Amino acid sequence: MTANGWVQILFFCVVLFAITKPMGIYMLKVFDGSYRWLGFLERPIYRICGIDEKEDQHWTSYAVGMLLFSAVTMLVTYVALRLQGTLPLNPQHFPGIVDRQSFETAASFATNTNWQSYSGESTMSYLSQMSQLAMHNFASAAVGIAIAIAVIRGISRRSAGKLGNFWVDTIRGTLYILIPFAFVLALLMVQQGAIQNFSSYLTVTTLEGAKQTLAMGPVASQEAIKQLGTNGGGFFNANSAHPFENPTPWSNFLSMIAIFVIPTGLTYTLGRMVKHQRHGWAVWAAMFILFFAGTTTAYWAEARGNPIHAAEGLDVKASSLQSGGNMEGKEVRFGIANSALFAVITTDASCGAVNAMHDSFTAIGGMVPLVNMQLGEVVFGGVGAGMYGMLLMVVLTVFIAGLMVGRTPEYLGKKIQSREIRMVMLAVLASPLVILGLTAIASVLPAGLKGLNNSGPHGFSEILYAYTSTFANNGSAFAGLTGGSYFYNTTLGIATLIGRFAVIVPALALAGFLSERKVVAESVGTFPVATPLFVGLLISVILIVGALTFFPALALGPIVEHFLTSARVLF
Amino acid sequence: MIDLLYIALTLFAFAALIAYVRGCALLGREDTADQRGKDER
Repeated sequence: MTANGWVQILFFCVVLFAITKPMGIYMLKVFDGSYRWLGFLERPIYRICGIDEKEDQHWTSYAVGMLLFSAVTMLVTYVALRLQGTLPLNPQHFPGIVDRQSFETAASFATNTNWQSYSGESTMSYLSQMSQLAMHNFASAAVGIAIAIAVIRGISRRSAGKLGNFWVDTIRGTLYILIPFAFVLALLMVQQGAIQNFSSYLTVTTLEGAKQTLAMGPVASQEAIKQLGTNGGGFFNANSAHPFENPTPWSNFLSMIAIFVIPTGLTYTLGRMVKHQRHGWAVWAAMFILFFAGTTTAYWAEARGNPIHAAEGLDVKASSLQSGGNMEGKEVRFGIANSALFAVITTDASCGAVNAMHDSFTAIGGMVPLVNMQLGEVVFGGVGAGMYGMLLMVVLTVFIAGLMVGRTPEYLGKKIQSREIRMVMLAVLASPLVILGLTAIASVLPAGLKGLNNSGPHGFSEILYAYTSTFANNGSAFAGLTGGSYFYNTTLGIATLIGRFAVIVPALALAGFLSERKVVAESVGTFPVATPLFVGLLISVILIVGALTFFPALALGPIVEHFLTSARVLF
Repeated sequence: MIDLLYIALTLFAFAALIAYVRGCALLGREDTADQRGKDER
């Protein structure tokens, strides 16, 4: 690890802290309707779509609206991808996407996952990229923010199960947050060198005289919403490691900030909406501590490098002539610190964009992204998804604290009883059921084993990572798995759907139930939710729930690989 | 043919999720009834 690397990581942390309050205030005012500077666009949309912006929906209507919206947009994308070959804006004349990949891609993008079992530059037309994939990048992100706001409303007010209006929240999130911010970010990306055109692919002659095809396209606009909406689906297969997507260290920094800007702001919005700002900061602190611990671990593991290299007498120390450590699968222009930091950010959030190949990380370095996703991506998390996921954990923490002191648990003056905990457990138990269940099936079936490019614990990690990533709606890949088959396309697609909606539905139900509760005055027996004790307990609950659930699987994968690597056994 | 299967799978998945919404609502309602009973006692 170098001082230069730490300065860059700490600079990111300072900027992250600085943007939290302004972003939180902006989102608060967008969703309470007091900032309507685009009202001249917003009002006609309501009129055309027949939306009554004053209608306050019960949580069940909110949930069903969200499900129908996702179902329709997913089916439209499936059909559009299948018909790609007959549609315009396809200068490379790509054929329609095969059925299994169309299903997986439609499910993946509709759920904010963006798992890609194809190379964008050799598969997707410009129309598919812009009208379908980019559309989902906006829509799925807006849905996530809307759900988070609805859940906070349920906690903060007494409204007999009513949580706001799904259509209004989704339109406001798109119009006031995602479109303006993505527009500015796209311009900054172009300024840094990301490409934005509709040109056919270029054929150039290299210095060695060979012919090379350079893929073109509307990349910067896709890149901006890819990061801002924590979608992660790259225009190119190499994702943010590609110089046309992420040309410079500055564009890399902007990408990382863009991934976290909405999730970090939502912690401040939480504090304002529940009228307990210190609670918002306490949630931010818990997220930051977990983020910093993950970054430190990944940076240490990657800077330390492969122990076999050091044992063979190779010089693996950082110096003015070399970066040292493990540079396999990393871009020289980003280096180890920014690759480790990006990997942690993209898996703390449900982004999944990568600027380095996680499969090439050391065993422990690669385990950090895996663990981040298995914790439920509540460390800032995906846009909205991180907040409602974290609130599920907060309710669980308050419940456990209440049990420890022998009092009825309360969260912000609302009693937590069995129906609330049932919803939390439905959400929490979905992840081991799907991730561990499908990993186990893929680890024994020939169809699952056929996709492996590595044996032993590393191969197991590839399967575990794939189902973890899709369930967590992350979408990053541990690149060694060949996921383009009926078995993987279908099961991974199903995992994305369950991972998204089987968590959202209980989260909305929890919010609906809490909104029916009376607010009781705080007493000496109320567990305070803005103290270091609360932060510590919240972190413990997150780690224990994740560790207890996934530690045995991690022990079979990256942990045993770490020890075997030290014993010079590779896979 | 496989297209139809994938479309049917999608429709089934979302129909199941809408049923899940209903199931969660029922779980909550039963609990409310339980609590009311306890209060009365």
